[in-house]
Amino acid sequence: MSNREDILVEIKSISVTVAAIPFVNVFHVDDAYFSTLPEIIIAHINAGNAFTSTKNLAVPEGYFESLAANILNKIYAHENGVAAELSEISPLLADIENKETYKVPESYFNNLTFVGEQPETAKVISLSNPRSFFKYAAAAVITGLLGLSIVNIVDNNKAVDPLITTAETTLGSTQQNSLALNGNFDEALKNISDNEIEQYLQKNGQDVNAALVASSTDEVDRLPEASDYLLDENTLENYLKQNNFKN
Amino acid sequence: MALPQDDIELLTLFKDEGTKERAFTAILKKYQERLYWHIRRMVVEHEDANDVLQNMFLKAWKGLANFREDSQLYTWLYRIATNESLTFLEQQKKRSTFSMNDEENGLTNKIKADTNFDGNRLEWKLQLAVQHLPEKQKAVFNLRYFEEMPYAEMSTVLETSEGALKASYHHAVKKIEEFILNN
Repeated sequence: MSNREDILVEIKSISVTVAAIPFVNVFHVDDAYFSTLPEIIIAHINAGNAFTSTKNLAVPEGYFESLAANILNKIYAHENGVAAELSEISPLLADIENKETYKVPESYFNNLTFVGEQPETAKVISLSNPRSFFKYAAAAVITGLLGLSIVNIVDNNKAVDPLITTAETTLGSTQQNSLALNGNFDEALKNISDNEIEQYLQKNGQDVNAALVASSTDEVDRLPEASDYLLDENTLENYLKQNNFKN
Repeated sequence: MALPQDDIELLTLFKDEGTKERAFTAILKKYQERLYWHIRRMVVEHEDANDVLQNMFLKAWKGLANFREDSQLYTWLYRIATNESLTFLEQQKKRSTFSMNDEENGLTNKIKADTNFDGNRLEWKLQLAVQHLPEKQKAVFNLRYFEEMPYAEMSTVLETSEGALKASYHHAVKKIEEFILNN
């Protein structure tokens, strides 16, 4: 151990204030404490050893034989505890039968509901939402239509029909203007040759013969009215003769 | 038959089952007071000091059979006592709802609750100042100032270098000075 003087010299070099504090033990303990302490500690050690060594030994003799009876006794003591206490405090009250004096309507507690209480129902969650299917289907249709329109516009801009171009060049600007102004398609068509029309139809995948028949029917006179057949029985005959349909 | 007081001889007797208990009783009587006061200054209250002291001697009993004789018995006992005290204070801190750094910490209140407490006396102010030190610094100051332990032995007890212990002690004294001057 260091000398007390060494400690004071050291502490003076650090702090004169602390070095000036009297070296006194402010705490106190009973004089008898240290004289009994070794015995107490040895007793603890021996108790600890005894506990450790007896830990694996068999349980006290007759422990299991009396276990059930001991537990039941504790249960009865607990159950009878209230009655015993009451009879001790007031024998009069203890003699009164513990019966419920108030009555409630039959099955009151079974049907008991509180104000604002709603019967609980399980939340139904559908596996699929039909609205969502229609939503996607409508979106697909709109997208498809938009796509087709765009393709059509692009194609129209790209491929200008050569026949129309030819017709336009053949007609000339004056005729085009007159066509636009008057709307006289028959006159305009007279200036286009049959070969050019036939080429146009073939290029566009049209049946030339069918188109010719259709064009000829367009040119025929108006069909007889129903009343014409009643007035003259030769109406149909005359109509066919007039339009050269009869062989 | 009177038992020897020398630590090495006591340890030899402790290893013999016939003299084990007597040897340990002799060790108890030899070191109990010094260790008690060391623990008491750390934990303040007698009841706590008693618990920690008994616990540390129980651990010493269990560990003494494996004690290496190349180190000194008393530094080994001080190490157990210091570690047990620090563990106890740590447990107290965890259980406590207030901060131990607070002005009105638990140990300060325990000192003020002592029947002999006199706040005007410097020795009591010193105890209050010591309780405001960090736990390990408090152990360093107590071992050096009260137990007068050389730094070499403190180094073994606290497993810290002598240089670090000297620095820690210096800081502790400065903090105590500041506390006393401000209070």
